[in-house]
Amino acid sequence: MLPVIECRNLTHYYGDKPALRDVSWTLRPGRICGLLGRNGAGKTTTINILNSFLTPRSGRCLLLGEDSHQLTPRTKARIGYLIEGHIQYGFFNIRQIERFYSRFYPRWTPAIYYHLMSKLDITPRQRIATMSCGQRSQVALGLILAQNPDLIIFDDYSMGLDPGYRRLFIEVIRDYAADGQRSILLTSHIIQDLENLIDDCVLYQRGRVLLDMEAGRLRNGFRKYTFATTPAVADTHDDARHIRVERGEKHSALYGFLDERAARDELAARAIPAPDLRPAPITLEDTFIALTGKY
Amino acid sequence: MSRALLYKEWIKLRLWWTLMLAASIAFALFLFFKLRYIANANEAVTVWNAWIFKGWLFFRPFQYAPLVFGVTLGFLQFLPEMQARRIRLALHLPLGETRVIALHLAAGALLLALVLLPAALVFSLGGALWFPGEWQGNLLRVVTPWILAGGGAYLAVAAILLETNWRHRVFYLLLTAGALRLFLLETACDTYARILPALALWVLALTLVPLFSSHRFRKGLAR
Repeated sequence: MLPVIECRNLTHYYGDKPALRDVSWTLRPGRICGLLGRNGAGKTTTINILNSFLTPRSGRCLLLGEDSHQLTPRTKARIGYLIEGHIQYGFFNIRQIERFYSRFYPRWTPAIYYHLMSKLDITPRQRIATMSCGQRSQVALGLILAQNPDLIIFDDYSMGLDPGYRRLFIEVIRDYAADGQRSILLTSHIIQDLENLIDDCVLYQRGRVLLDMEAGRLRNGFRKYTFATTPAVADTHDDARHIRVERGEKHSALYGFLDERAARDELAARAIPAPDLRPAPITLEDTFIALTGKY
Repeated sequence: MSRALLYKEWIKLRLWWTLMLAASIAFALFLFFKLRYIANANEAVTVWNAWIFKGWLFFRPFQYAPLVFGVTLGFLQFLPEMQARRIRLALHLPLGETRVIALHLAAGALLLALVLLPAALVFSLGGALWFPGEWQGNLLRVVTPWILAGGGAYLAVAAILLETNWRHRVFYLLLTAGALRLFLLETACDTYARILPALALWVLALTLVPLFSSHRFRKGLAR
């Protein structure tokens, strides 16, 4: 099947500073993909290129088979886009904004939008500018879902949301994508929210793709082991093999796509004694930090 | 879809536009009574002499009004679009980007024209009531560059706000401020008569600048 998003060899610089270096990845139909990375890793640059608000130095992106800079109105109507910060027109009230957007999208389904609005403590004539950040996020989300798009791009959906609205946002996305017909790309800095949401994960580091794999494989394959700290332990990381040793006061940790035997071999190769090595529980956020580092 | 975009612009601007229209009507009434007073209180030959030979422009308060209205409307319409780069919402709509911006400009031009209409009516109908045809023609030829300056100022503000590169902004500002100054330089009768079509063409050509700015914004070329 044709990928919904295909980034091919994207390279971009801001002045002399590289933002993206030969980045390639794809999003398959019906999948939810988390585009993750530290601040400045290149996520927003990629989103801007995808939405054709930025022309890359080289490389190209295809959305639903069309070049992202040459999208036809028909293809644009199949793509929902949540702008970072849930930006919308503040001068509209919820009825007016629904009336406005409904004219543009042939598959517009107002019931989806009004169902979400009915859960909010707002009046029909209340202007969006006077709503809380969480309420605005639901308005923006409802408008996107009412389009019935084949592809949705959520740029940092969690920005400014309290845990309740973040949870609500995730639940709505999950329900919407449950039929397996929608493809979703999202970025967020709240990694734990994505734990049971995303199917695939593309992880950026310093403008490169550090890792591109199914989230299930990442969850099951990436392990953490702890062991007593000895003078031989030092902080080290191997980006190419996704292995990190993190020195702690009493206990240190080894992270990587390693089973227990491979973990022991890895430490032995570094001359680190670890007779008490044992697996430890690990979250997606731990995995993210282990892969990208704290600094 | 075009109507939906015009609807959006109307909802955004209706309060401010109504205030501008009220100010414009008040200003037009002022001009109306002033013109009537001048026509009734003076001999025609006196007015003619004062206007043509001494350069006394009894409708001069109107000179900068279109410019002020144009600049104000441009800011009110495009500043909210550029705050948080909200224009991305419109550019993501399933329409051609040029069409989207052109519709925004058409909505603004229409609202500006309606704001300037009361004064234009006073000049044309009021002028016809109290002055001979030749005077009225002269009067309209004097105020037309001022009205064109209003349209030009509106387009210039749109272009400057849609542009995100500061060097381009300064360039547009200098270019348009210098050019618009020419529209307001002379107030003597028929000074602009022969170049009025050129001034109108210049304003029309200025429409391309906000379209160019938005294209650069859309393609991320401005940063």
